[in-house]
Amino acid sequence: MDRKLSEIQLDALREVGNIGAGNSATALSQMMGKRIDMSLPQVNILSFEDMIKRVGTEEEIVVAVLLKVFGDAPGNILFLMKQDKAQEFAETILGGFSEVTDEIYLSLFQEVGNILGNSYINAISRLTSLSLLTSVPAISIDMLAAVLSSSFMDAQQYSDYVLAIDTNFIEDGKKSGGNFFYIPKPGSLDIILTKLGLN
Amino acid sequence: MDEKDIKVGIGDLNVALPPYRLITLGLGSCVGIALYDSISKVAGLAHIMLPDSSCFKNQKNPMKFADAAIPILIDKMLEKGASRVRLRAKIAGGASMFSFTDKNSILDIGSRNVKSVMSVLSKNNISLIAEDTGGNFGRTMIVEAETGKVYIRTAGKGIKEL
Repeated sequence: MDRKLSEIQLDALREVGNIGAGNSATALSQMMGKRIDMSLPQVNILSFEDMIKRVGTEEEIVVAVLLKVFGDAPGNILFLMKQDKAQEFAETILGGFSEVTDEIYLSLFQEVGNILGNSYINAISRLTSLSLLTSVPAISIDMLAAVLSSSFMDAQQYSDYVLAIDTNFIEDGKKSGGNFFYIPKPGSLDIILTKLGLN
Repeated sequence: MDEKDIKVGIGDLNVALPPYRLITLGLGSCVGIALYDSISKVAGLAHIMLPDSSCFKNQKNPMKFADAAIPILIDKMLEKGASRVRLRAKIAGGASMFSFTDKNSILDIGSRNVKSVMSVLSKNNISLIAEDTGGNFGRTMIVEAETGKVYIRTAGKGIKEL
C-alpha cells in the first residue's frame, strides 16, 4: 500500500466498513441467539508484523476462513477466531448435538465465514452499487502468521505496508476473539472511493 | 524462543554464529531459506514472500523477494567468514494455506515461491540438501548455527528435524 489516503477518504472507508460490519454482527447475533456487536472498523496501513500483533502472536493457532471477492473491486475477506474462542463458539451454536465430528466443526466455521463475509460484501455492494461476488469459503486451522501473510499475498498486497479494514466482534462488552478483515486488491479502494465520490 | 534465538521477520534475513539459532515463525506461502557452511559454522536464514522482484518498481525492501534476498544472504554470510563453495541449503514453506475446490481460487503463490527459490539457488551453485515444502499447513523454521540442523515446527504435529 503505497498510496496515501486523506482523512476524509479514511472516514469514508471506516463508514463503509462500519455498515458492512454492522450487517455481519446482526447475522452473527441471529446465529448465536445473543447480542454481538462489532467494534468500529479500523482502516490500517501497517507492516505485516504490526498487522499480526493486532490479532495475537505469530504461532498462535487460529481458525481462519477465507473468501475471495470477485467483481468490480476484488480482494479477500478473512475471518479469524482464536482456537479457544472458536471452541466456545462452536459449543454455543452446536449446543444440541451430542457428538461433533471434525467435519461438522469445519463446516460450521465455513458457514459462519460465509454468512459474515457475504453480509459484509452485500452491504458494500448496496452502498456503492458495485457488483461484488464471493467464492465458496475455504478454511484453515493454523498459525496466525501463516494464514494472515498468505491472505495478503493472495490479494496482491506486495508492498512493505499492507492495508486492511478490520474489526473485532464484541460480546457482552468484551472482545470475543473474532477478527474480520477486508483485504482489497490494489486498485479496489480507488474504485470504492470513486463510487463514493471521494476520489 | 530463548535468548539464543535470533528472530527473522517476514521479508527479512539474518546470519548467526554458534551458539545462536535463527528462527522464523509461521511460514505460510512464504519460503524460509536456510544456508549453512559446516566448517566456519556460519548460518543464514531468509524469509521471502514473493518469487521475483523484477516486476516491481520502487521496492524498498529487496529481502522479501527470492531472487534478491538469496544473494544478499550469501554476501552477509561471506562477510562473517563463510565460504561460498561450502554453502548448502535447506528450505521450508511454500504452502497453499487455503484449499479451494474451485480452480480459479487456488492460491498458487506458495509453489511459485518454491520454484523461484530453487532456481535462484541453482544459479548460485548452492545445492539444496533438504526441503519441506507445499502442503496446506504453516511452518516455523529454526536453524542451529552450531550444527547446521534445521527444525520445522508445525501446528499440532510438534517439531521435527529437516
